[in-house]
Amino acid sequence: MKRIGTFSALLILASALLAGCGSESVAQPPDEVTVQLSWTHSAQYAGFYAADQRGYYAEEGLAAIFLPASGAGADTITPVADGTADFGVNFGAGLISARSQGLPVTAIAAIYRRYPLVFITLADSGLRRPQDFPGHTIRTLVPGGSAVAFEAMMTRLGLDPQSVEQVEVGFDLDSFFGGEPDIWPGYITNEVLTAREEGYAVNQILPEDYGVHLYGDVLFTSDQMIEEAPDLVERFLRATLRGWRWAIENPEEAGPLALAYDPTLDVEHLVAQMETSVPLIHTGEGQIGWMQDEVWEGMQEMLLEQAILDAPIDPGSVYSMEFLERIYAGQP
Amino acid sequence: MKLSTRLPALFLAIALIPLAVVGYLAFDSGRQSIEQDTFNHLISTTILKESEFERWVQDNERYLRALASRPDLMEKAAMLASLDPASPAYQAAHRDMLQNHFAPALEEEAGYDDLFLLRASDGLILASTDETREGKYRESEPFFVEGRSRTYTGNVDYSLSEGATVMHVSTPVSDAHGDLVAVLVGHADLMEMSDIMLLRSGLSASEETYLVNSFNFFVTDPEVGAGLALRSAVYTEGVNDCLAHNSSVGLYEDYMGVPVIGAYRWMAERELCILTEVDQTEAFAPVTALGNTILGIGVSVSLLAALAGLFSARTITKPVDELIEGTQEVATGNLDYRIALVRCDELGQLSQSFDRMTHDLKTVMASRDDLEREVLQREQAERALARKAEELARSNRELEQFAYVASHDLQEPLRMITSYLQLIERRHKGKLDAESDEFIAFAVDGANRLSQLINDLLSFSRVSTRGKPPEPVDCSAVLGQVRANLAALFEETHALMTNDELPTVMADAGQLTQVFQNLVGNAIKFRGAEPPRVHVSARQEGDEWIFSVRDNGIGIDPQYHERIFVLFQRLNPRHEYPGTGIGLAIAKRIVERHGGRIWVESEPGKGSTFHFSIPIKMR
Repeated sequence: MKRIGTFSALLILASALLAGCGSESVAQPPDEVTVQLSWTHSAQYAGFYAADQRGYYAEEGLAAIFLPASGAGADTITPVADGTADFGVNFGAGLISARSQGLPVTAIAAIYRRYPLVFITLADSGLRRPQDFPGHTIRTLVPGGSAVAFEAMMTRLGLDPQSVEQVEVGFDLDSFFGGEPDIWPGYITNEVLTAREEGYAVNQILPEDYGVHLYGDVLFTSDQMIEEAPDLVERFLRATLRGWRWAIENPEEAGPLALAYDPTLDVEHLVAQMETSVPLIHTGEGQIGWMQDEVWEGMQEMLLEQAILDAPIDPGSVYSMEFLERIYAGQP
Repeated sequence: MKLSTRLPALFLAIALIPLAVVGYLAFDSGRQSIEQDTFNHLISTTILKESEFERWVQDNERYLRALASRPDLMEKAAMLASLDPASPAYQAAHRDMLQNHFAPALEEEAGYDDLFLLRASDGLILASTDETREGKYRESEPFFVEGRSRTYTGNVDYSLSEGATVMHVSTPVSDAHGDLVAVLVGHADLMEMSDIMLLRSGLSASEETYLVNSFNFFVTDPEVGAGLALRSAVYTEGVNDCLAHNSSVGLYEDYMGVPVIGAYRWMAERELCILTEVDQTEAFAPVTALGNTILGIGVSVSLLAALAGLFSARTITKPVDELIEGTQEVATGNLDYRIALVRCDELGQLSQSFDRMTHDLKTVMASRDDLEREVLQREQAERALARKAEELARSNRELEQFAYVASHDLQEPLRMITSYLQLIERRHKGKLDAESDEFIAFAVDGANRLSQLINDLLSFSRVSTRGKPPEPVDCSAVLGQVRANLAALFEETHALMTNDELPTVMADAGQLTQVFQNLVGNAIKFRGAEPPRVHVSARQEGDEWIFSVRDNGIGIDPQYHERIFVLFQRLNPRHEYPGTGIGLAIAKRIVERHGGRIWVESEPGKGSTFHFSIPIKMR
């Protein structure tokens, strides 16, 4: 990124010198930005797609490239920290862990302000609450992600997280529908919909119901970007939020935008996914992307409880309201 | 543009512009007043609905408080909050709570469709009309946090746990000692709220009132979009402005894309937006009707105006067209054409005047033609005359040339004849017979006379060929010169010449001398018995001098007064008065060359007076 910036600056300088005047009208090539997604292409990133396909990025002089995550549990923070990608998407708790480990990354907006994590059990399994979990099996939890929420939920209820056996079954829901494992960690915006589409009745056990409040998808970037190209960060965030605004206002159109990046996706699923995610994004608690101190503090507390964090860190170092405040002119 | 087009257009404009202005003003003010009325109505509707909504909320709160203050409920709540869930007492209390309190409350339709009890210490759901909810925690929810200390009505918002949009009402529950043990929570029956909103407040069919929560979801069903409540988000101009915490009115498109007039109020305490909207087509129907009426009137008036314009244009332009046609006909030369418009107005007068003018023109044209013809003839005559004059001048010139050439060239052979005849006479005089001498003498005499004639002719022709340009000549000096030239004659005849004072005139001095010399010479030559007396006088007459030479000679018969001026004409025998008869001819020619005339007054025996004139200014 930095290289590209310097190179284009040199190009502009050279062409200006050749032209013999400091012409400002030389068409600048858009700044190329890469975005590391937290999962494979889906309606979960509809706002980014909308900003890309509806030209909001172009209007800000940007061209975005989206990098889907290689798989569940893939590290999507390091690529941003080391400059491979300019921006990344991750769940909030993961970002706190990364920060505590010294990765120079900072959240600039919360996209999913409710954690859509849900533990699904088949309706006839009789597993309707966490208290029913001990002695049963659960699909492998993602460390730092679903694992955090699961452990927090179990601990809060006085249950031993270890009493539930984690089994490695991959990510194909068919084995769950076949009865293995008993509990499936998923998203209400994805697996719940799939189960419904497949015709299975399921129980949903939400960590939210048991005092676990986390930010879902959070948009972040590296400290270096914020320091060296704050203008580019602001432009990218402004265009992205505009994309999300359009996406939640037009869920039926926004969902299928993912098809441009992965044509194998199912249109109806994408639309349902988008519609379900609207309340996560637009919660009625302030502007899209807005973040609250309490949630960040709560998340840190949870991580401390689980000894994922050795010592508390300054929550203010994990996220920055600077760009949201500038874009929304200070209006929460 | 032609008059026949311009006039109707003018009429149309005169009729339409005020109509359009008045019509527009009427329409606009009508629209504005309707808009204002509608705004006012909608605002009052939203205020009314809001107060009904608030009353509903208060009713709900009152009911919940009443429920929470039931001693039995308080007792059971305290038991649930403190006992082990596995204990039989807990189970009994739980059953009583649901059967004796919650279930009847729902059946009463007291405004709740769900009730549950939270443990005051940690937000655990102890008992719920929805069994699946039990065991879950609501420790961070505002209805729990707030409900521990007071009766609280929450926002209508989306609950991830419930998977729905709900409105929580909560109130604290204490035990017999007044210690807080639980929080009683109810889900308000949003259908009742919808009914309040749907109850129509006015007569207009399209009017509807609905609630939208702070994340743009319909909280109550709008009239048209039934089933939208809690499932669909709405992003109209009105909703967006309202959710920016504004209360106002506006014209915008509603959730169906239909243009509406809307009033909206931001209910800050509930974080809800209440909107009342009415379709613009319905609201503006009266003003649309007014507009149509105005349009109808406009069309009729413009038709009438156009017809009136067309008619008056025809009454004006038709005679004008006839006039134009007439003038064009006359312009092509048809002066017999008469327009003859039978009208009493200005156009009739114009037509009459034009006809009269055409008539006059015809007369004038006829005289003009005569005049032209005459001018033409005169020009022809003048041209002929000029041609004649030219011919005359040429022949005159040729004649003069001929005379000069002839007289000059004739001299030479004549001199030879004369020389030889004189030689013969000298050598042979007296040697031949007397008859021959006489013949030779005749021949010599003839030759001399011929020589004299030729000399005279030459001098006659020289009058014009050798003439000098005029210069001031003193006539007294001229006369003195004449006297000197003729001194011998004066002496021989004892002639006496007197003269008056003579002027200076513009003339060829030599030629004027010759004129006087010829006249004075003649006066002396043709003398009577008396010694000759000559008197020369001059007088000014008009623009010329008249000179007179009077003598007391033999006089001239008037019948010869013209003839004497002709070349070589003699009245008297040569032997009595010698001369060739050239003198007067030369005098006449000189005088005429100077632009004057010469004439004589005379009778035989009474002397003669010769007059000639010289113009004072030579032309």
